[in-house]
Amino acid sequence: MIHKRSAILLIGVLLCAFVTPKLSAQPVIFEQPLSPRIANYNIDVRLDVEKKLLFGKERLTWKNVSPDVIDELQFHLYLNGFRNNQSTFMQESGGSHRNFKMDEDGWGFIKVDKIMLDSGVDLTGRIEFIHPDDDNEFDKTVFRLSLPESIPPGGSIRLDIDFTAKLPQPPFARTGAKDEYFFVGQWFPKIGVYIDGEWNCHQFHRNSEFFADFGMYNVRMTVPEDNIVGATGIEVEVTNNGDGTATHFYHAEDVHDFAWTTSPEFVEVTGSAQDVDIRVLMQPDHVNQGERYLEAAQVGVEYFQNWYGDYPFPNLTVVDPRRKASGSGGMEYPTLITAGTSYRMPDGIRLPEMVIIHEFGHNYWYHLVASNEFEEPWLDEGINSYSENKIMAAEYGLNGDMLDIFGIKLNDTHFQRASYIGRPDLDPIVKKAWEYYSNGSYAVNNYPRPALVLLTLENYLGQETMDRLMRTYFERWKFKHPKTQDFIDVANEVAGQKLDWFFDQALFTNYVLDYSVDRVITKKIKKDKGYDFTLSVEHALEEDSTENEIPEQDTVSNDSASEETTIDSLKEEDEPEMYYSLVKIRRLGEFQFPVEIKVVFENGDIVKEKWDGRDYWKKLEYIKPTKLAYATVDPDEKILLDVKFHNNSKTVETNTIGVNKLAIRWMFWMQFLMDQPEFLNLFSGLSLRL
Amino acid sequence: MIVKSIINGFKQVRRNMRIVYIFYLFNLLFGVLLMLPFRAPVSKMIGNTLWGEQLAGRFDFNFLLEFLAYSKDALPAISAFLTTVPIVYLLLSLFLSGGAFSIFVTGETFQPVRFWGDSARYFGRFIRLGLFTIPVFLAFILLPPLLVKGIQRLIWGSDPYQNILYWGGWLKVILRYSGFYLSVMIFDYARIYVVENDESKMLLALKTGFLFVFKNLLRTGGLMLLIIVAGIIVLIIYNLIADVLTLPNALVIIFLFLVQQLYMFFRMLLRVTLYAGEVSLFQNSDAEEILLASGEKA
Repeated sequence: MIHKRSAILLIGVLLCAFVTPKLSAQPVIFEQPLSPRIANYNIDVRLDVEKKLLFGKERLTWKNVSPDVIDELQFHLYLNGFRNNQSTFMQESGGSHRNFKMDEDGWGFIKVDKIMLDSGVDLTGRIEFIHPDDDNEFDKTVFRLSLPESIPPGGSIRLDIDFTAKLPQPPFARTGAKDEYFFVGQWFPKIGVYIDGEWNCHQFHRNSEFFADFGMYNVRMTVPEDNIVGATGIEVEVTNNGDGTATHFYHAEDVHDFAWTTSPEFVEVTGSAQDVDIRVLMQPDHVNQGERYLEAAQVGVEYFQNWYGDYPFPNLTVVDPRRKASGSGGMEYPTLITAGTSYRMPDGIRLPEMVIIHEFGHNYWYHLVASNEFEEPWLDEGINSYSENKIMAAEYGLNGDMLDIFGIKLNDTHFQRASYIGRPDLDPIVKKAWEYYSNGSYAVNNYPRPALVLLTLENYLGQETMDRLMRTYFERWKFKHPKTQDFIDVANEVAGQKLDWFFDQALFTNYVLDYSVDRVITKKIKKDKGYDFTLSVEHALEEDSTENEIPEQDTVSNDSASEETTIDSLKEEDEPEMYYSLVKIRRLGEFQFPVEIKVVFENGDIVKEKWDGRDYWKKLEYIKPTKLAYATVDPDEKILLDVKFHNNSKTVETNTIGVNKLAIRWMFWMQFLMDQPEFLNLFSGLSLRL
Repeated sequence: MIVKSIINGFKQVRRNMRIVYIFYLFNLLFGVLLMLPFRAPVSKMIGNTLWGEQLAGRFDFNFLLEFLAYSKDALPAISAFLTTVPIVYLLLSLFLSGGAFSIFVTGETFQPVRFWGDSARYFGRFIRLGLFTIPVFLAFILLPPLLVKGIQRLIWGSDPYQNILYWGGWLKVILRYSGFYLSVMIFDYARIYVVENDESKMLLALKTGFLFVFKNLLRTGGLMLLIIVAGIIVLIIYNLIADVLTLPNALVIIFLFLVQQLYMFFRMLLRVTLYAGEVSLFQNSDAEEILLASGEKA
């Protein structure tokens, strides 16, 4: 691999050396391919700004790296998801995606005008739309192309494809146009992935993203000459066509998608992080946040490179979506990400930072480690949400890393828990993206829940082991298509233990994790009288006790009541009062997880216990010269999957001091608002900032 | 004139502190009413847990998350209280204002019979006046923001940059506040007119209030503004004090409660002082002339 900055120099040299027809001016970024480069595209595309149309000519070179003979190809036509209200995407989404909608007449589409072998044989008539995921005959997002000649193992095919596409308006579900602004994603006929002996080419769903093979892209985009262009890869040259248009030539290697954007209004902010050049394309009304975007991107690049491994590409482009075009925000493509903000977004609301770090993270978990977003979306969104959580905490502090404004401090973890605990049991995490109970379930099970799973695992394994696990997973699976089992295998290997018991529950069931301190009792022991008998718990309990909890001899520890105490030690007049204390822990959810239990006595004694958490409940008993104060399970709140922290402890005495403080605070604000209802008007002012 | 009205008003209030006590006690009572449906589920949830102690110190947002997630049974009751109690409080405040204005208009000292009697006497009229004021209130609250939006559209079209929307948004907030307070002032002076003249025609009272406020806008607005600014200053002071009272200690919490109630008492003092100041301003201005000029009185 060539070092990134020298790679750009090399491109320049090569360009000087090869002043040849378009497609032969092939720059080089990496001396040795980093990926198998299965799907390689050369595309010339012209943008019709007024009609929002793309006219494209694509040359696809596809290699058969499988051991099978291939006699058909399958392609995605993602833009047909926006073709009409009968497409699978629109049926599933009801026309709404992330609360954005298209205009009434904002439909988009893509049409293959001609598809030919490079020998000139026309295959257009062989196009057959298929619906591998449902029976929706109106869906035209996938087509099959039977080949006149099979492709043998190790062979390849070259196809020339002419296509016309219209972008949805305004940008919807990541792609589209709004007036002068274009964000162009999922825009060209794209071949599926032949894996495990079959084509993996799913329809475009409301809750699915993408899956593709790595390759090389040479893309020439013809746009108005005043437009600024940002795209996957590196810009090689810009040619002014003398007709009011300019052609921007971008080249990318070892990527599995290509997206681009253009607008005459972009304001560029540039910088770098470690060995990565960063270019931010801001909207004019957000330009004062350009540095903020840049800093967030730098944070992302540095943490990911330091923690997980090298980002091999020389550059990163961050796109700020236009106003009223937020449907293109918060999305990831290879070396190009989109974010989102609003004018005067307060510094304490770190939404742009979080989005940029998250979307850059996808260049690791989706791009480099190219898992199947259709079938196992948690592998990119979930792992990335974990990484995002860790980086936000590391960079912005554990107290208020997401929100730090007006004294309110909220962490990414707070938001993730808030999403999760509302509906924790609708689905297992591992599921095809379109098969979840609801859109909400898809969101919970692919973003916050996997993040909490991995944070829980990290607290179980320890930071150092978890870091090695993540790094190993990245290094082993970059430029490949890992599956869930591959992640589990790496975890087992790095942890040096079988973690299937954890992953089976966490990923493949809807089990809820909830441990609770159910009862705490402490009672004074009545001293027995007489000669030389053994003090047993039965004798020890006070006669007037309302509770009659008899310890089972085989379940108690050395500190506990089963330890027999001879009366000789109790006969002395000045012998201290002894207390019998009982703690009952319950597992309220189906998820079994080992837990720590901390039992604290009034004299300050602390007893720490461990429980494998498998049974339905656990009883702990103690005889001590002091009363029990409280017991708590998972005292350090390490098990972030626990849906109820509030039942993790129980005190012997009712403790209402905190309740009273909350109550008087609440009462005060009610008194205030009743007398000053116009105060609520301020919220409309604050909402302007969001 | 503004300062004089405030001083006169404050003198009136000092002679009639019981009015402030009544307003405060009802505020406290309704605060307690709104607190009870909140406290019960909180106590049930964390009363016997470590959170029950820890939340006496810094607030933990995990509590809020779990309260919202797991106290869903209690939320309808809380919502119902939040909807109904403030309405009852609003009506009660309206009721009490009759007695307060009556005492300030006559310049007498507080007498329970007069206070409660006149509260009852004017309540029906104030209700009618309030209903008549609603369109004025809506017009002042809703029209200016629409006007701002229209101007934005006229100048910058349907797709202005976000900075235009942002500053326009703040302008709307300011205009909404101004509209709110203008409506309140009109309602106040209309009520004063009703009490002073034992007026039964509420539309006439509303018109008088309207004309009086706009004819004396600097003075009426200035008086209101002074009271608002005083309220904001004290709110800031309260917040500074409350923010440092974070020790999980019963004495600290009691102290916090006292500070809160002192603040609310001060708010009631300000409100009653505003009433008295408005009465003073009204009586020292030429309201009668306004009516004559408007042709309502021959």
